[in-house]
Amino acid sequence: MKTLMTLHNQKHLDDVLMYTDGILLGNNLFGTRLTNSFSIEEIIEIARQTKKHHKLCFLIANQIMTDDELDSFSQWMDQIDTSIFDGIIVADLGVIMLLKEKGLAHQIIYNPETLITNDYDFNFLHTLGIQGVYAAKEITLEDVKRIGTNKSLSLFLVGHGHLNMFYSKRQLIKNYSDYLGKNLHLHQAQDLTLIEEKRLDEPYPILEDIAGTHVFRSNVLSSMKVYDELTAFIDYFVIDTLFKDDVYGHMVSKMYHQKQTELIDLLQENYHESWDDGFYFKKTIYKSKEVIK
Amino acid sequence: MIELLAPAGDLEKLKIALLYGADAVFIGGEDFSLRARASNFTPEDIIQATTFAHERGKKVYVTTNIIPHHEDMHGLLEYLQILESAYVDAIISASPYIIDTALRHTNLEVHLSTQQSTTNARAVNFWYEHGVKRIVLARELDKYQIRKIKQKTKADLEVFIHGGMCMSFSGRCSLSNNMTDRDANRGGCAHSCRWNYDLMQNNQKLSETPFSMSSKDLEALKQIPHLIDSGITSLKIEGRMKSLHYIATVVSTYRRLIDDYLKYGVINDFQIYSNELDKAENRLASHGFLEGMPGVNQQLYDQRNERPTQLFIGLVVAYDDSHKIATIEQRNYFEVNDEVEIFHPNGIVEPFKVVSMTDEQGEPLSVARHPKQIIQMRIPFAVEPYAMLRKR
Repeated sequence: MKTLMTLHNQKHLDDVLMYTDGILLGNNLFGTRLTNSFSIEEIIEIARQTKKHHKLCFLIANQIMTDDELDSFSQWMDQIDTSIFDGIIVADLGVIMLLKEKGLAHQIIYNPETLITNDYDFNFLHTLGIQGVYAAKEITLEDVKRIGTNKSLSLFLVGHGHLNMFYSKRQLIKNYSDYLGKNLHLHQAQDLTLIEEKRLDEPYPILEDIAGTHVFRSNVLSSMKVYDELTAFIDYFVIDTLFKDDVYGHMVSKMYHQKQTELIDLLQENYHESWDDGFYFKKTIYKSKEVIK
Repeated sequence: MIELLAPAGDLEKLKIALLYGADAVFIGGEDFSLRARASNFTPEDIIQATTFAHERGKKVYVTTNIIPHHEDMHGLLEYLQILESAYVDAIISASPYIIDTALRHTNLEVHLSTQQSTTNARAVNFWYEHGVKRIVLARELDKYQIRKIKQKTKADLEVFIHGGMCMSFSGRCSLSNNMTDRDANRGGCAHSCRWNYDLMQNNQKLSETPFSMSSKDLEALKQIPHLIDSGITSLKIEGRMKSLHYIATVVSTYRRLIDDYLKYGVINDFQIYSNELDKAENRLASHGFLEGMPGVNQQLYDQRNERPTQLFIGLVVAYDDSHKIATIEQRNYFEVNDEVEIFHPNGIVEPFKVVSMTDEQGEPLSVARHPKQIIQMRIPFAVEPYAMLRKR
């Protein structure tokens, strides 16, 4: 199992790569929920440096796109020698078809966030010749294992970080700012949270970027309890450091790499966050009729 | 011919939708369907539904649109075969597992659910070439983007024109999963996006005004001509859990608008259709994404905007033409001497005054106060079953 992690600052690349096998990065014209939006020149340079370390570099292009946005993305991609990437992470079937037209099917990693919840759907795009697929964040460890057992593509899983749970195309923070009659300048701000009136102790990070508005889980997903099990069937374990920094990333990747359980409490304390197991051991409820009765 | 597609939460709503002008309805079965809180159809109900629809040259689509986990995958083929043997006209699905099972092992037509959030022609054509006949487009497209997609595909396209809006890209939201343990992609959506929140920066509340993700409902009256001219196959009304009166009013209004546009080639005054929609219990509405990125005027803040209506007071069960006596099932309070109107399934509205009425035993009544009570009254013109009695 390889470990990949997001990057905040080019200057910290060495630290980020110290305990990982590679990085994920993107530009906010086509990527979303990014730790940082890197220019095309920065992306090329970072990818080059990553190669020098004999590590992996994945481009994030995970917006849901219209035809016009696909055309822009196509032109943007034409400026890059795509061989510098070990994979391109996308969330939209239209992007997959575009990359396939460009002969880049082998680089595609499909991450439709919530949609890959069973082994059949995981393997569905195998015939297109793509490289990998992310399993949904909302399934149990048993479901992840079953996908891992039956996979015909590389299995990616976000194993640590604030996982997103809402992706709207609307600029909801700007709209709210307009409603208040204020210019709050909160676009791209990474220090915002939502508090629901009945869940006062669960602040949900919220981010508005070019792609829209995103709301995230209150707790940070941690896979420390299941890390050894995951190594048996996950190909790429992803650490997402959105809302944190590269120092955090360095420490977290070290924790997983060296199984330093003593860092679990320290990191939560230092970063004022709580970790949980996500849905690894928690089934969501299907037929809500049973709940309502 | 463009299709007007309506929701049907139960058999009665299905009949109302089809009688009031829908060309097709979509319903949920007991398995593999979102909207688990709607009154979902049993296999026997589905046979009744398709029989009723097909006798009138209309269609029934069944939603099998969950995103299944492994534990949900059993029994799919058997269920699809039941739908096939009930002569369902198509299923609406999002999961490749369900889509492929239907395409490989049944003759069911497959429509791609909006849960896949399809926003471009390449994705549309991927599914079309895979064997999916119709794509329900994402709600996040404007009318020009929709037209462009149609110009690049042979697939049938279905577009939402009226009803509630998911705030997230459909299928990509797990607010409900995380906040209530109810799986939004398996029928358990708790509508957490419609709750009130405080927006905080560095733990400081930015305003006493609650932050809201919630938007106004979609109402696309003015965009219908553009969508028809774009070659869209189906115009979809949302709301399987809405009332009979809502379904009748909304369907009838769009039916009239579509027919008027097809007949005259132009709509000069949308207000008459808008006034008609106002009679249903609509929430505040806007054009959604159809005219471009929604701004503050498309959002809902600090308010619950359902506008309840007491207009719908009875449903016609039967009419004795020789004595001009109608049998009515009561739905809301009304009295003798009320000025009322009959809302016919063909959209025509005829006023009259309630002069007298009796209960089932012929005992005179001055007020009708009991829900579902059977009442008889004289109506001076012919009415048909499923016509609606409304207060003026």
